[in-house]
Amino acid sequence: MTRTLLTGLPLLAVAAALQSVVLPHYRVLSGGGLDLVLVLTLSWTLAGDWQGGILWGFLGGLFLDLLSGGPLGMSALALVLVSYLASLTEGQFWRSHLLLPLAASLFGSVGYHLAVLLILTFAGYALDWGRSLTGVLLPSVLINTLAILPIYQVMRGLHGLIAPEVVKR
Amino acid sequence: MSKLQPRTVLVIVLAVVSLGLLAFGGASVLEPVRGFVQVPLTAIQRALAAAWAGFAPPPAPAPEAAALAQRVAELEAEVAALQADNIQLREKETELRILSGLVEYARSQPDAKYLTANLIGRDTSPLLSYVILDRGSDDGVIRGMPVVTGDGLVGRIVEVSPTACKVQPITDPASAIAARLQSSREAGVVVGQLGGGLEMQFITQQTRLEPGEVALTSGLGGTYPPGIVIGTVSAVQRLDYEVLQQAQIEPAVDLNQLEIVLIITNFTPVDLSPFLQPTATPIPLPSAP
Repeated sequence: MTRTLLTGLPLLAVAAALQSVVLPHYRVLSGGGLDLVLVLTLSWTLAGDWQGGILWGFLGGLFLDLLSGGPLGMSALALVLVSYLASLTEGQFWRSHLLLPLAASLFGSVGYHLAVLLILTFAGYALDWGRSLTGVLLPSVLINTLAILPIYQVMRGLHGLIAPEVVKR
Repeated sequence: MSKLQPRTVLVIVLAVVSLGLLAFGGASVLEPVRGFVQVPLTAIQRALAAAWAGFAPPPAPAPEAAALAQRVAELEAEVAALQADNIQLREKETELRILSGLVEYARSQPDAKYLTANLIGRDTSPLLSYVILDRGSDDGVIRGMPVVTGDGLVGRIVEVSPTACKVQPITDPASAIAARLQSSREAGVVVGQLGGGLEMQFITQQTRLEPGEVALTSGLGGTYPPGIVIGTVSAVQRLDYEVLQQAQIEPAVDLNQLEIVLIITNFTPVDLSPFLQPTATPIPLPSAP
């Protein structure tokens, strides 16, 4: 767990900063783009560290919230819930299926953006739901789903280095 | 009762903490903790912003020619060096142009006091359009201070940490500014729209609006000082059966191109909240003679 946190803290801080500094230059339509922290969290969870994945979701979400004008805890809550749902694939026989990261990214991105939209609406932010769904959610889901394939491979490699699975005899 | 899995316990704990932050995240008690986490995060953001500003695409490869390979290599090196110089000079030129604009604006408003700030980040959520500046409470920045450029109004500061501050731009959907049209003197409210546009609402039907008319802050409500350019009317939506009309406003400031801005430090927003509280005892009406 300590290794997971020591890896996650700097990685997620840099990812959140990248999401604030670089990625806004590559947004399409009404603001859809790569949600790097979300994709990293999902990839880490699917790589085999379900508990660490949930913690990554919380930490990454907090970093995102600190660099956002939205309410503190918004992204943290959304990412904890999404990484928890992704962690439920643990122990399933289809866990190693090639399509799992794609499906996790697809449903995870939809869930994350819907959760954020709901929280913002409850917090009293004036949002255009139609435009948010078509101009932000849809392109973000597509980009995240494409991006998870290479990121998942990197995270699997990193997870293998940091916390290699011990095979019992 | 079945035993809860550690995973479920962890999620419940973190979800409760997140909900607690959502409910009490704005409390002043948490300010030092926020600042403690935000300072290193801002340092990373600042370093990335500096690196990103100096980023330049590599020069295109020259066509190969075996006989002239040596010469081509030399020329490529020379071109690369000149391109690097050129990029640096262009950066300086852009910076100079921005700063000249800001100085000119500051000269035209001698009563106001300004603090220059660099934009170091944008909102991590695509649903929000806040921007982050490299000035914070250590520099004397407080909530509510307006932010401008030489072209016009950018927004106002809504959150401050020791080394950075968040600005709610005028195009944010939650932003509403009391405005006045320069020629017709008609008052209205300019609200932000998702996608970066502006709309001026509550304009009476009698007013004849023309595209190109300038919208300024009116100063009503005490949130912004009066007379700052917001933008120009680009289109008018007027329906005969409606009481009011709306106008699309083209923002004077291109928020996607923001680099350096001015914070107006001697403007204190007026707190109208005491007047908005319902009175405990009704005020008696004067009796008729």
